[in-house]
Amino acid sequence: MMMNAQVGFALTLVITLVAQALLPSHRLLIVLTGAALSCAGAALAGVASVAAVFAGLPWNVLLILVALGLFTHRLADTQVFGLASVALVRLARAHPVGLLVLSTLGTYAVSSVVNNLTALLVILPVLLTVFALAGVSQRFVVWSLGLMLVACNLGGAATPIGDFPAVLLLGSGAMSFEAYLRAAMPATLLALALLIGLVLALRPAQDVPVTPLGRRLTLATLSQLYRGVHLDWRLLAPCLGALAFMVAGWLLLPPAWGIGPEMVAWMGAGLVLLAQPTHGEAALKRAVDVEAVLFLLALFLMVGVVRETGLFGDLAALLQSVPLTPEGQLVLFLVVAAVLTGLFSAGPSMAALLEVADVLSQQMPGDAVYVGLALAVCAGSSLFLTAATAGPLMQSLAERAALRDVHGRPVQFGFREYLGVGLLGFTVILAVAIGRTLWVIR
Amino acid sequence: MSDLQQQAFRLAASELGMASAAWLFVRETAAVAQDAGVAALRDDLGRAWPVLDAVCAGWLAGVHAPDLALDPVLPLLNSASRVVLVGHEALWVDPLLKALPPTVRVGLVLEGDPQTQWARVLANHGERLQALSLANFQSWAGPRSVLLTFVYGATESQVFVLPAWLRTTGPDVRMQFRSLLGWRILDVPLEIYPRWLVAADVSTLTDLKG
Repeated sequence: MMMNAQVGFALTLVITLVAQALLPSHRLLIVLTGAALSCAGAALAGVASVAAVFAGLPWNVLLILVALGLFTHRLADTQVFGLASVALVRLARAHPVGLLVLSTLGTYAVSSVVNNLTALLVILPVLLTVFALAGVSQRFVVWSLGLMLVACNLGGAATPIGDFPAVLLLGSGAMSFEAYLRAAMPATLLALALLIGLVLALRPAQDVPVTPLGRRLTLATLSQLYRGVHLDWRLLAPCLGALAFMVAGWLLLPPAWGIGPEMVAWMGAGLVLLAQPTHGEAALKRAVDVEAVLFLLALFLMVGVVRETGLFGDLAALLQSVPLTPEGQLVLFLVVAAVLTGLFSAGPSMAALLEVADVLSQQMPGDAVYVGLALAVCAGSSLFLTAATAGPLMQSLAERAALRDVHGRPVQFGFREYLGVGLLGFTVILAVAIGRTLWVIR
Repeated sequence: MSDLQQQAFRLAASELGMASAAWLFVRETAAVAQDAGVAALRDDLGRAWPVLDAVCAGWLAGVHAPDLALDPVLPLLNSASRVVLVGHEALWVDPLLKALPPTVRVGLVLEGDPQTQWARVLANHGERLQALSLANFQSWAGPRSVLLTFVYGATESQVFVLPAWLRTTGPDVRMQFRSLLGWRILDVPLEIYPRWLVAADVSTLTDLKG
């Protein structure tokens, strides 16, 4: 009976994930339908009551995501990211190689603090403007935008607040803020450095036309486009204060006090919203990413039902029965996690695989398992343009920019064009993930 | 190279305005390549961008700065409580907003190149410039409201204006605003077919200044 339930609910989860990946325009409807069927099926089959499934949801993770989303929204309103992007272009003197490197580093830094979609939305318009002004080649656009996308994923994995997988680790209590930061940031920086080095070795900017007049016009026009945009210090000050408060809370508050990371995020976002109450109220009503919250809620419900069947424990036991050393089993887990993420995207993969990781961490160092998993998910997110939500957004923004190359041909940036960058990013990040994991547990 | 220049100029013109972008490109080009560079710029882009062509021609004839004087238009905005801009020219809008009393509300009808990043255009003016659309700009109409557009060239019977002007100035609208003001910002006569612009009857304006 339980075996049938395991198969049935696992199939419901997989079919739902495949369907939402194939029909992204209906993904919310698909996952909510899958979640409803799972919950109803669990109740009817006697696996778990609907109340029990809901009680097992990581509500604190959803709260962290909503709070950080609101914080990010107000931080972006200060214009800090747009102006910083302009400063980066000036620093690069509009030179293609400089632009590629600095925009990659800038994307990594921004996405380590705010969510990936926001990071792209604040940086990409400036960069695409510069591309249109300075002129680009097809090859340069693919490598620079592709590298930015991978840097976005790496930045998201670098800190416990950068992206959903890390937030899930923080919210579930699997790792503390400090432990995750100390473990993940050096690994992501190493992967980023390797990637930049490898991409530069391919000379992506060699066919980009560079003239002194072109660079001068680019910088002068960019200055004019942002001539009156000013940093909103009255908003930035409380944002920075709230960020410092949250980081201090995550690092220093003793667990015995019972104030978890979600409360810290809630209070931090609240401080920012209260700083300008009218705008804060408007942000609460309009800026909450309801789509992301509903999507994750549905995923958690489906994963929760599968968990009730005991499937994840059985999968972990199956993995541990593979005739490999424990290190080999963990590496196998990371590779499977990365590939599944490439196919199903980070949210579903992390939500499901964390259950298996919890079992594995009882046998191996938690740091190695959890950070390895976060990095593997990061690698998978970078594999295909469709593996993370930031990919389609980047494609859409690039299409809207309607860039043309030196011969007047439209510049393309889609699934096929990104694949080379994705494979390189996937390989490098997964190699770093495996290398770090083996180094930690040796 | 011309395709890339076209792309760059179109982007600049979509947000700064065609005349403002033209002055920027001509100045920067002249700083690097002097008059020969301006002549080459005119050859490359002039046919596609008549406003740039006119500015280049003016530069080569000795006109090295735009006429940014507000004196001709400010008296016509005296006692106005609302000004609706149809078209955006950064070189002229920036000082105009500074010169107008803070009590005068200024709106911009967001019509133009589909690639325009209006959020960035508006961000340059803080909360001084409000976004309007073709659907709602008439809510700003009234006996103390002025509709203002930029004029890039004129003959006795016609003015060369942005296409958005024709969409905003139907007979109904003419009755709703105190005046329909054309601000002539380009004195060099247009010598070629005014692509990106339209020739409107001069009577669509109640005043033509500049």
